[in-house]
Amino acid sequence: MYVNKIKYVSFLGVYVLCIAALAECRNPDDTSGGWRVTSNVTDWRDEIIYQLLTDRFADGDESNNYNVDRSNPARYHGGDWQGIIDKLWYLEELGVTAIWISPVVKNVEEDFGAAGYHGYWTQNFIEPNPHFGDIIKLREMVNACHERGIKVIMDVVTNHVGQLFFYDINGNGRPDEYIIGGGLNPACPRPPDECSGHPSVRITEYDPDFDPGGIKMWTSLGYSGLAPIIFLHDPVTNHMPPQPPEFQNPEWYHRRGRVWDWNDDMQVELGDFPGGLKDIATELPEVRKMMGSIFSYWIEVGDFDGMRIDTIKHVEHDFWVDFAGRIRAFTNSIGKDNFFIFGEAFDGRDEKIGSYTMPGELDSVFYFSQKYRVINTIFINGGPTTNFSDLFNERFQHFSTEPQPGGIHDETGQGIAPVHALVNFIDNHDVPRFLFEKNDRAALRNVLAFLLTTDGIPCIYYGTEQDFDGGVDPDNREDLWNSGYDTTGETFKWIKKLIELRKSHIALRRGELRIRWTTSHTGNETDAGIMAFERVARNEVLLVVINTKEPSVVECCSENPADRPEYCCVTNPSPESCENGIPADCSSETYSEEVGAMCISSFEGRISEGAILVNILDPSDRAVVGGNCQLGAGEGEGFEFKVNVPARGVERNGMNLWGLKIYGITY
Amino acid sequence: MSSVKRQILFRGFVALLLLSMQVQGEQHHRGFRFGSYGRIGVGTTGEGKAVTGYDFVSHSPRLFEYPYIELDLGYFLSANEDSYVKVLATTAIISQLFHYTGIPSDSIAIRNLYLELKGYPVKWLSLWVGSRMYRGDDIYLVDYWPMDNLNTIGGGVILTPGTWEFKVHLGINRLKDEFQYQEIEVAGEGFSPVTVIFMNRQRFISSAKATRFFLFETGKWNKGAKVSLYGEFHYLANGYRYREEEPPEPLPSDIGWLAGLQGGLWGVIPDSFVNLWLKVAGGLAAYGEMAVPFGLDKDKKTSGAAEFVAGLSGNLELPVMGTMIGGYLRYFRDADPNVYDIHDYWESVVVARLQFYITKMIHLALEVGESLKRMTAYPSQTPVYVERMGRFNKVNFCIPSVTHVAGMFIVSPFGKGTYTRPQIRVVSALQAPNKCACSLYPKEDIRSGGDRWNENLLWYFSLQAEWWFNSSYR
Repeated sequence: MYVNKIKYVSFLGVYVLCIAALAECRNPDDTSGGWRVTSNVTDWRDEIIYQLLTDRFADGDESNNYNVDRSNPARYHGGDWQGIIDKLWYLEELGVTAIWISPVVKNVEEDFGAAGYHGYWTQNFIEPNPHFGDIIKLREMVNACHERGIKVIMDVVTNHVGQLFFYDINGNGRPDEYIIGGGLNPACPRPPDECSGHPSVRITEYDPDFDPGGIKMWTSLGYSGLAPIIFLHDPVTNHMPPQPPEFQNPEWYHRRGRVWDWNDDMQVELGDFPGGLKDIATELPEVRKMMGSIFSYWIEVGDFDGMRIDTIKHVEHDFWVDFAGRIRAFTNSIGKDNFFIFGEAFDGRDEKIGSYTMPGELDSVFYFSQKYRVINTIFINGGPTTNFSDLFNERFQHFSTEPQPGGIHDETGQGIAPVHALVNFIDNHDVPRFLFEKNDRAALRNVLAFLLTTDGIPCIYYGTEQDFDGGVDPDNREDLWNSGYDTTGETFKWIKKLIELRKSHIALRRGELRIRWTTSHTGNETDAGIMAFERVARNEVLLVVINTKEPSVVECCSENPADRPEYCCVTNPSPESCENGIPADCSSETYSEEVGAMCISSFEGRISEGAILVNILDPSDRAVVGGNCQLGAGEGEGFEFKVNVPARGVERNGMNLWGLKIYGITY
Repeated sequence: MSSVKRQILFRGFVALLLLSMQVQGEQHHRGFRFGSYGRIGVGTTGEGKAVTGYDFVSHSPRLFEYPYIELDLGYFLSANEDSYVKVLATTAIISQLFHYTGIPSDSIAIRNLYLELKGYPVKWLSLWVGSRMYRGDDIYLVDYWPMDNLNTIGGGVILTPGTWEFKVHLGINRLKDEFQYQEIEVAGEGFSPVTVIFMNRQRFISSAKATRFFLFETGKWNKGAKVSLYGEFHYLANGYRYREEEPPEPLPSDIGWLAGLQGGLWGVIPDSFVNLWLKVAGGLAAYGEMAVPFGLDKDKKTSGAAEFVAGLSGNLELPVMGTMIGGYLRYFRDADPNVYDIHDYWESVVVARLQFYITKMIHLALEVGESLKRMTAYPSQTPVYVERMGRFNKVNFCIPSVTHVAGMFIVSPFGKGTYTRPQIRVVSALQAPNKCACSLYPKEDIRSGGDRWNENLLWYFSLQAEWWFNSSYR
């Protein structure tokens, strides 16, 4: 009996030890700081955003590589949040200060052979995408970023869910795609009604065309009432009813079918997004409340610093007032300061995208009008640089000049108006990369100089630094690991240099932008392609001069020496051999092409020291800065100078003849 | 000590050890031998539903396991007291049975098929070659061999000089999984594709065990102790895995190791014993020899995987009752770099069974147990919408656990003893999981439970039978 007691006591002791050992285990809360949130941003204009597609940036965890097919650009490739953690050194080396990651929520796995690797096919609003990691990994990634001073921007979709239901148009309870009608003979000489057959109509119950009255049931006898929607149930492709379960209410969707006329605002706001992405009835109070709750949850769990919102022009303005208000109230309630809310209105109309920054709405938007009217028109297609000044002048009419109540602010608490916080970009995951549109690395570096010196918040699409040149989606979503994360490339170093420059000059980050020179000239006209603007801060003024002009063909090798421009080759006016129109025996010191000259009045004598930032393209520094302009009366009393801008991007002897020079000005 | 005495002692020990596990020992006589182990049960909840237990730990209590039957077919040739030749084939049925499912295709495995020579050329030497489940002592209540438990095709040597036992084994497996084996179709000379073997890499598993027996009463094996040291080494060859439209994926070679220590004590109280184990393993061995490794590191290796086990099994026999206890504490970590991972966890199972001998053949038993698992990741990542607050709650860390209590009415025709078999049992059992355990299951799973505590209880009746005789216990 005594032994029996010992045995029971021993058993109890071992069990207690086991439990004690378990209690000593590491609790994820301890390391992650629990769900405590932090405020990490002083002024969003100081930030440089790096947009990355989580699936394509870095693969740090083999264990979540489910359904990966790297040979197919429309399938998962394996990138994940652990990969971001692993490559933070790369982001630090580049110098970016914030990352915008792919949506974090669980998506439809696969739809018609393509995968939801991008994150915009929400199936479950409240669970993480297991391809990227779990909630703890997400938080671990964000914490790791914060430890390095890198902020993290979440990507959210409120407009739609993935392809989660079909319209049961013919009432047979299953999704069909079919053609009805025998079809008319186009060669029929008589009026159609005298020809046999009916027009052929293709019906897809997954993605029917927009009907303003809602998608209706239809049989050969005609239309009847609204078609019921039936949620799909396929766990393999994760075509499962949406979560949380409140989203399984048919009333929560507009059910009007797919947008086909993008000029029809009703279709744009109420229609399904192409691809069968079902449009949510965001006007319903219960939907708005739910959306606020969902993304408040993610902000707290993920400790995100900002929010990029997808497809904002497909949602009514009232929603954004409501949603932004809820998010601001929530972040305020949990002590998260300076949370940045900005959206994507994929639209070239300045007034349209600006309308989402009106009072109570978003802190900012992507500057799509600049993408079309400056990046594409000037830097890609060689259009007049007055496009830049014209757009700039419109800015103050189209974007709110008043800070959002409770919105982003500087370190003094002074609100930052949306007009000064526009998110500038060259390209992104929805448009072809710059180098696809213009296969000219010098041009890329030129536009990067613009991106990182102009007013607003620059956003660099991942892979730009590696000279990726993919075309439209999905070719513009390359695997970054194919680059080897090389940090020695010219474009990488160029971006790094520009970022360092931006960080070291408050004028480039927060200064007022004043346009000093644009021109309507194009082609070989005088000063074509030249643009200049100042960035003016309280203690600093910078002048940025950029020559966007294509290098002209230099006829240095003309048989008639008289036809040879005198600047062609100073040391050898009669070259015996040429290479690409340039004398082969010319040295860089003796070659230049002056294509533009500007007289700029600046500084107004108030600043004792300043700088001119000139994106020149000739290492011989032939840009001339001097005070020999002849300005007319009334041009101001400030310092006057002249800039002769050399040609852009002439490549010779394997070296790009471009550079960046800051001229110190002494008064 | 004369060889006859030593042989008697050895046989006595074997008999007693097998008695402690209630496995009837091998009887080395010429001729055919049939043996079997089996457990069959069928149960129902109060609502007439099938019993679906909470089985989130790697070794749930045996009481909740599915049917499992082994049929041993062997033939012995015994030349004398010190030597024999044995051919043994063990067929195992590992599934629910035909009369339950209506599917006449129960999963059958050949778990033993080997030839063993003992006493050739010396009586303390055994040699065996073949396919064999090769293992030591178990924790009966959770059906778990916590230290040495291998299934390979290979061979081994067993030396039994005096009160020592040395076992060495080398085996191989090549699981039919694309981690080790891959067939692909390629263009043939004619119209039809031909199937070729693209990857075929084997895992080599070697083990060694040394056991020292201590006899508390000189010359008698019915009271003693033992200490075992055990080790394994695993090696997996490299290979290439075919991928469509991509270059073949190189899979590196890999290794694993295991070290274990066991202490045993028996006979201090008649028919009673206790065994304790400690085990650590790394690399391939952490997953087990029949497992396909998951959660590999960046080099596609298992280097970071680890396992630790502390186990306990015991039995106390008294005239009016018997008490069985069993349990383990186990840590497992896969090889991927995730610090917080559903595959990085501690787990613990403790079970005790009190068996009261009402009569010699009629017994009543009460079993209680607790299983818990503490993952470094959150067990559930699904927050719940709190309508009142208008917010989603944040997922919280919790430890899934399930407590079970079972009452048993036992008919034991061979009399008293917790390990005496066969037994026919009528069982009434209750499993009470906590909410965290329920959250391990998708909400569509009947085990995901409800909002009220009593909705998560699993209560059922079952009829069970368990037997063993002439079984190839190891």
